[in-house]
This record gives sequence, structure tokens and C-alpha cells, in this order.
Amino acid sequence: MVGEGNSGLLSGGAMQWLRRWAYNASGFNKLGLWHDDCLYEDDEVKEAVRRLPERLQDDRTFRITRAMQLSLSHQILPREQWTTFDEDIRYLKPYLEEVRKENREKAEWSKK
Amino acid sequence: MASKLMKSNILRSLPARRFAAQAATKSSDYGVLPREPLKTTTLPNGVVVASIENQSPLSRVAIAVRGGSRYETPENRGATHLLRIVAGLTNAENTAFGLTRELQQLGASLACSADREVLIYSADATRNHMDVVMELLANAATRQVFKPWEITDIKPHLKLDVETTPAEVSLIEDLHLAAFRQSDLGNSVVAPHHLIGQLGPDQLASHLSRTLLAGRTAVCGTGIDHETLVEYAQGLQLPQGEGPAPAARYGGGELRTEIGGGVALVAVAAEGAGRSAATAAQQAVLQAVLGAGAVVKYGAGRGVLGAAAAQAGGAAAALNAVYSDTGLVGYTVAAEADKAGQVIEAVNKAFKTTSLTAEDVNRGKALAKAAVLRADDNSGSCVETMGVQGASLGKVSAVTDALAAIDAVKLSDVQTLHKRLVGGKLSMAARGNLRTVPYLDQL
Repeated sequence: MVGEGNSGLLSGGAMQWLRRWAYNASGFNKLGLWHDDCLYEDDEVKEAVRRLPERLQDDRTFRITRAMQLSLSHQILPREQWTTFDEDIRYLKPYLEEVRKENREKAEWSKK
Repeated sequence: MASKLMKSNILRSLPARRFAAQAATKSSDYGVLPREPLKTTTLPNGVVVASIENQSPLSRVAIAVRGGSRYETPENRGATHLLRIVAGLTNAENTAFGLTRELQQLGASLACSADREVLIYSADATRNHMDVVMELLANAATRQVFKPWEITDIKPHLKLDVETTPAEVSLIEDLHLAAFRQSDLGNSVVAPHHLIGQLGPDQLASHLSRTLLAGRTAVCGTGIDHETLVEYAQGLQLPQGEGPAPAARYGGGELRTEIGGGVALVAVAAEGAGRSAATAAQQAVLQAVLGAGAVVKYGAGRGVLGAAAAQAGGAAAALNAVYSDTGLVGYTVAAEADKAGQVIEAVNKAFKTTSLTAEDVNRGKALAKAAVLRADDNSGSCVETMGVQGASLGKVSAVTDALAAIDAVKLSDVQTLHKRLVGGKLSMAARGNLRTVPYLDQL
């Protein structure tokens, strides 16, 4: 899974190169989006987004709106404004993990 | 005919004799375990531990912290009210859901209550489950995390609580505000309506960081072994520190809230002594003499004030609010709007001019002792009393000490106290339909 530690198949440096290449090839950074903006919004993701601090929610909304505008006008951002691999923070990850943990706990209890 | 037969002595005496014969056998072949006396320990870090092994199948443990509403700052006013509401939400070890289900599964309960001085987290459960429940209590009381979204989700509950505050509670809050003005003991236990918006995780955390300290905490229990409780208290992670000191200044004043309706509620009080003062027992006796509540359900108030009020067509009771450094002693009156003026005049006259006799004081002593014993008998109020004493005074006294102090009260003490109180500056709060209610300077 992208974002995990060493793969076992490739050495650390090679793995990093492959990840950067895959990131740039996927193209969402050309619309100024971050990885977590592109997650499919199922119930867990929706709840995680609800829990984001206001600032992070606003930034996310801005990026998504800008990307939608670019998409409908068949444009991409100038190269200087593309999201880089290093600045792309997985901001939703801790919240999403917490939501998933809570759902697992509820499932455990309902089994009893 | 059949019924006449039943009434004849012969037929009735047969079963009666049999039951009597059965009752003659020895009733107890096992020893009855006595209720043990109070045991207290003060840990090196300052936590006071107190327990009574009352041999009950139900254990109760409480963590009391000297962090009531009097220690709120202007920036976090209302924090204790919100803390009470969020007591069962996610903490460092349990989610809100998990905590609730775990407690339900064990048949336990967790509660948080607070007054002006002390914030108490308490839990009770059957003895065999108490160890798990104590862990959950420690997490809820000392390892809060305050998730922002949970606080936001529960804000409507706070708003509902504030808006459905009973008139009697508001009256007493107003009295404290009038007496102690806008800080310390004047801080209401109910969050101010206009400040609900500013309450959030930061305010809660700041209140706890100022007051949840080892030197301000007491751990009390009933139905639990003292060594177990000491070990439990040692395991609590509490920071060191002094925290804010009590700084109440009695000013005196008046607060009238006209809301119409058919009833007027009035409270009048003078400054009283603190919990550890020599006059505390005398105050309790005075309150009992003046009349604190009815003995018989739905009965008219008793005592000097109750009788005066009943004659004028209303109800009155003596008020004795005791805090660690000061207090309020006075009376509360409830009457229909038309009669309120007369009732208050009558009660005020009785309050100020009643001459106390030895019989009055003996009656007061008996009532006060009964009240102390009644509170001690109920394990819930027993734990609460221990918690309040331990957290606010740093030591817990046994009931026998309180009874001895009441016994030592003399008629002259109570008379001196009474004279001093009625001569002091009074505070007044009134709520309801106040068209006949006199002002403080008219009393």
C-alpha cells in the first residue's frame, strides 16, 4: 500500500523513486489536488471529513472546487502550482483511522 | 357463613401457633459483619483517600476534585457545567461508545456532579465488577481528551440544560451572585447562557489543568477495602501543583428577576462561617431550629420560619450553604404573588426577632444529628460528603466527630450566632412575580 514502510521487494531508494513516479503519473497533482482530496466519499470518509478542523476542511473544499473548475474548462494548473510529492500531506489519515477503529469496535460489540 | 368461621379463635390460633413455633428456631448461624469505621490516608503526593467498608454488595468510588465553578476564570466560565455533561465521552483509553457499553455490560453507572467548590466523578457497581469499573472511572476522571466534534455534537444538550434550569436553582444562583458578586462563589454552577458559544475543548482543558491536581483531589469509597482504594489512588496520574486559592469576598446586594407567573420565590441570606470554622456546628443547629424542610411529606414547613410562613399563607425554609472558607445562612420563601409581601414580612420578622430557648436548641441539635446520620446512612450521599470534605478541606472527619460537635453546641452559642447574623449585611434574590415583594432595604 502506498505510504507504508519498506516493501521487501525493492530497496528503500528504489521504492521512493517508484512512489514519486507513480504520484506524478497519476496526474491529480496537476489539478492542485492532494491524495486525500481524491478519496471516494463513503460514510467513513464523510465522517472523517466532518471531524476535520475547520481550516483543513476549508482548504480541502477550496482545492476540490478549484479542481472541478479546471476540469470543466479542460485546463490544468501551471507547472509551478502542481502539488509536489513532498507537500502532499495525508491530513485525513488520522481521522479516518479513528473512524474505522470506532466502527470496528461497534461491530465487535454487536457480535456479542 | 364461611367468613364467620374464619373469625373464630380456634381456626385462627392453629396457623398462628405454627408460625410462632417456626420462628423460635435460631435465626443466624453465621456472624453478621459490622460496618467498619472510616479509614483515611493521605498519600505523599497529596491525594486524600477515605473509605468505609459498609459490607454492602454495592461498591461506590468517587474521585472528587477541588475544581468547582468558583475556580473558573472569566475565560472559561461555564466549564464545570460542560464538564459534567461530557463526563462519559471519549477519553484516552475508551471511546464514548465503548465506555457506555462496558458500563452497561457490568451493570455499573458513572456520574459526574459538581457544585461551586468540588467536581465529583463517581461510579458504582456490584463488588465483583468494581475493579474494572474503577479503571473506567480513572480514565473518565483523569484522562480526558475532549474531541472537538464530540463537544460540538453535545452542545445542544448544554443549551437544553441551561434553558430548563428550575426556578429554585436559578434563585440560589442569583443569591450567590448578589452576595459574592461576579467572581469566585458568585460563579453559577449553570453555564451562563451568553457564554455557551465560547465553551469548547480549550476551555475545558484549561479548567482541568488549573484544578485537577494531586493536592486538590480526594478518592473516596464505600463497600471497598481501604488498601485497594489506596493502591488505586496511587495509580492515578495527577500532576502536582497548588492551583487557584479560594478568594470569595462577601459584598451583599440584591438581584430581582421579574418573570411574571403566579409565584414569587425569594431568598435572603447573611454571610456565614466556613466548613471548618468552630461555628459550623452551631450554624447547622440554627438552621434546624429555624426550619429546614418538612418532616411529613406534603406537610407545611416546620421550625420557626416554616410556622411563620404557613400562618401568612406561604412556605419558608432556612438556608445554610457552607463552603470551605465562608458560607450563606438565611432563608428561602415561596408564596403566591399576591401574598408574597405578607409572607416575606412575617418570615423576616421571625428570622430577625425570634428568641431562641433551650428547647429550641435541643430540637435543633436532634434534627441536625439526624440529618448527619441520614446522609451517612445513604452510601451515595456518604461518598459525596467524604469527597467534598477531602477535596475542599484536605481531610475527612468521621460522623462521630460531627455528632460530637453538634452535641457540644450550647444555647448561648446559637444565640450569639443568630444575633451576629441578623446584624450583618444581607443579600437578597427574588424571582417570579415580584409586585408585592419588598426590596432589601425595606426588610
